[in-house]
Amino acid sequence: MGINSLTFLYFFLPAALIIFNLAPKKIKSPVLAMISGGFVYLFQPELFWILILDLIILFLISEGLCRFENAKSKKILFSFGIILNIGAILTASLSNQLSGRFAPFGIMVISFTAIGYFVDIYKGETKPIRSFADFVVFMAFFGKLFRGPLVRTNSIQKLPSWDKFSISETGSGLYLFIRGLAKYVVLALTLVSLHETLVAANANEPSVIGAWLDMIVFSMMIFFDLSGFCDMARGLGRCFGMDLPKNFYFPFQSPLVADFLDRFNMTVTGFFRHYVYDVLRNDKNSKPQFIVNTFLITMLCGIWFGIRMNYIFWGIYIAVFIIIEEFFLRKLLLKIPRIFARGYTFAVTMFSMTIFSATESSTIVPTFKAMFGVGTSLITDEISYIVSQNVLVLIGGIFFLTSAFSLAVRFISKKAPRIYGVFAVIESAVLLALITANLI
Amino acid sequence: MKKVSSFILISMLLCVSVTLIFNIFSGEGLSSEGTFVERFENAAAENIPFKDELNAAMDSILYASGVRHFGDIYIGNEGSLLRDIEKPTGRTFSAAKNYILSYSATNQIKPYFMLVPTASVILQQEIDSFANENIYNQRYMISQMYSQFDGGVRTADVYQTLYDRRGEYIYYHTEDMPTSLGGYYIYGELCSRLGIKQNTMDSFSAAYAAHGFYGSLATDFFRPYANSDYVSLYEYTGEKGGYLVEHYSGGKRIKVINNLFIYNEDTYDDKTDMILGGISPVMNITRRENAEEKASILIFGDETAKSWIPFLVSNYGKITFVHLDLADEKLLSEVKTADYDQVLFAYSAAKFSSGIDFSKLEYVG
Repeated sequence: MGINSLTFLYFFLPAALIIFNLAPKKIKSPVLAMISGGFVYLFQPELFWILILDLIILFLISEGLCRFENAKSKKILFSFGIILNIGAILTASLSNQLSGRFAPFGIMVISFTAIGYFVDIYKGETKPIRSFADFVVFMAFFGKLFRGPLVRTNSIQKLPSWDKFSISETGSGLYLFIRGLAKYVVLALTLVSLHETLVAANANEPSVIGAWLDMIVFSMMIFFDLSGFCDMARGLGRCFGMDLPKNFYFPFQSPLVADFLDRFNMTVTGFFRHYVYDVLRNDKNSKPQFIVNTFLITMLCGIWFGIRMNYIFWGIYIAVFIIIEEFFLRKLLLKIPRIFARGYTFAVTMFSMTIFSATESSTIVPTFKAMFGVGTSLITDEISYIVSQNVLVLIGGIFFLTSAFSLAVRFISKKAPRIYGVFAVIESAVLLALITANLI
Repeated sequence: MKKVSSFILISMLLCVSVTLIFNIFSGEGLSSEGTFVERFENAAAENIPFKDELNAAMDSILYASGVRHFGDIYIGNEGSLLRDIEKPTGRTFSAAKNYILSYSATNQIKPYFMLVPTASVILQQEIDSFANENIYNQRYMISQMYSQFDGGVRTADVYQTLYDRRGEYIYYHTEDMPTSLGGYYIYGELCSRLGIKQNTMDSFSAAYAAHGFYGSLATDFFRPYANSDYVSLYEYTGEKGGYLVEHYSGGKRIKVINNLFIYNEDTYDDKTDMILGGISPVMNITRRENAEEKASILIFGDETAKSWIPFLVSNYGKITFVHLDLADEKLLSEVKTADYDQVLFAYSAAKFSSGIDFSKLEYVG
């Protein structure tokens, strides 16, 4: 049972909401931990017990870090915890790529969260979670296990609806969840097949518009996949009385590449910035340190998607532009009209997608050439036909990629809250119908 | 979000859930195949409220955005619904070849073989040029099949004949088969291969019926975008007496029609069944007078034979039609190949590629 299934939407979710809200306050954590466990079991029953074992070991380490008073023992346990989680991340990523085996569901998110959590406890920046149920909810709340967001103990906050059922919180959580699910089911999954069609068409006869269109489609695909899952996680979090952090803030409207990195997969970038960049940068004015750390951060952001050479090169490419901006372009880009700065960042990120999307290194240069129009026509008949058959998803994708829809919704909610309420219900009903039609 | 909006949203989700659970457990329940979650998911997909309406709405949105390809059906620019055929497997070719050649050797007869292309390739000018690149190449399939026989059977190729007349009403808009006019052109090609004289069109009287009918391809969603059809009934006027059409199924004669056509268009839901009274597992079409003076032919075919058999009967005293997939062993054993002068295998490319049980030829006497 995936999160994008009728079973989840119409059976598991309503049942989970009823059980959670009927549960007394004292046992809400164990109930939510069991709901999360139930979801993981239904999603991947064969690897369920590995995940449970992992969570027990992580909890024992957490308890040890809390109870050990000897600094040396604490350090050894901390190092063991970090190595264990890095090992889990490497094993999960490599086993999936090399042998095609699936890693235990959510292991990447859990391991990254655990690393941050252990560092915070070790440095005394946060209090350890002493209840196993609370620990499971923090580490493995089912909504965030797919693509995050990555949370720190102080970035996950319990809402008043944790204590008492709140119809408004549950409603707004469902609204956010449905929007996220629609992003994934209606847009991201449609864009996957459109991307495959475009790759085949461009391999057949490359063209400038074909190459650009493919990169735009690929970017939208990645964005709606990740932000769709993040919205679902945030929506589910709100339904179950927790406030999870945002993960995207219209990255493709950024005026700087550095800004793009801060707005794209924000919690992951934030994680690396906090636990790697800030730790390594002792001297804030040191240019060499800035350069080295930027390369490290962007490469880690690439590796988050998997341990593959093209993700590492993507990180290097992004780092080069961030460094150029920092030393030469920043002032100029912030001075010129915003549209040109955004155009520059958009172009840089689209070119970066040729590296990111490459399944073989040999496809990168031809795609770059096609995007620059070297030896290719402007557009082919096949690309025209593909566009004509996918007008809706392209317009919808570009519209929701920008802040236009969000600004309109915010404007309505401020100026006419009643109309906004009606709009939210109609929007949810339409999205629910679209999602269901796509799932049947 | 306000309380009222939230209440409506939560109620909406719960209403669908409750209706869905009710639909599943008041209906067929869960199937027995797959894991519990898979069975639940399949049951949910089957029983979702307003399923058809949701699908139709989704398709309408896509159509409005310019999409003309839905599943295996393309909506043609001139109102035809064109269904692409499924790609045949290597086994389809080898099974057809082996069983037909074996049948030929057993009965010491050299049969004729014909595959009739469907509208999706003949009318491909109605589809955008890049859409029709995705349509399965039936011409290649037909030539590939013909070459497999290596001279063991005599083949009739109607592809070019139909393609040259693609501007005429040779395929129904909403049924995946040739019209009677298309059938006449197929008949013309068959005549030259079977060594019989083709009767000209003016030796047939034409009647037109069932104006405005929609065939099986025109589901509720497709109907607004498709042109309706009519049935042409061509009756040979060269000789008097008429024909007797006997339908056999389940070991007995189930229907007798005293003409090639049923002129009452309300008799059948499928209006093309006005021709011959439809297709049965085995059918005998016999000339009422002087049948024995003329040749006889045994035809193995499918539903699309309705378009051209009414023309072919003008040249034969008796035609026996066998639908291999529908006929059972007993019925087939009563068909004696030796009683016929010629044997013809004639299938639409769509039916052939989806697989025909040629192994049943072993039961034919």
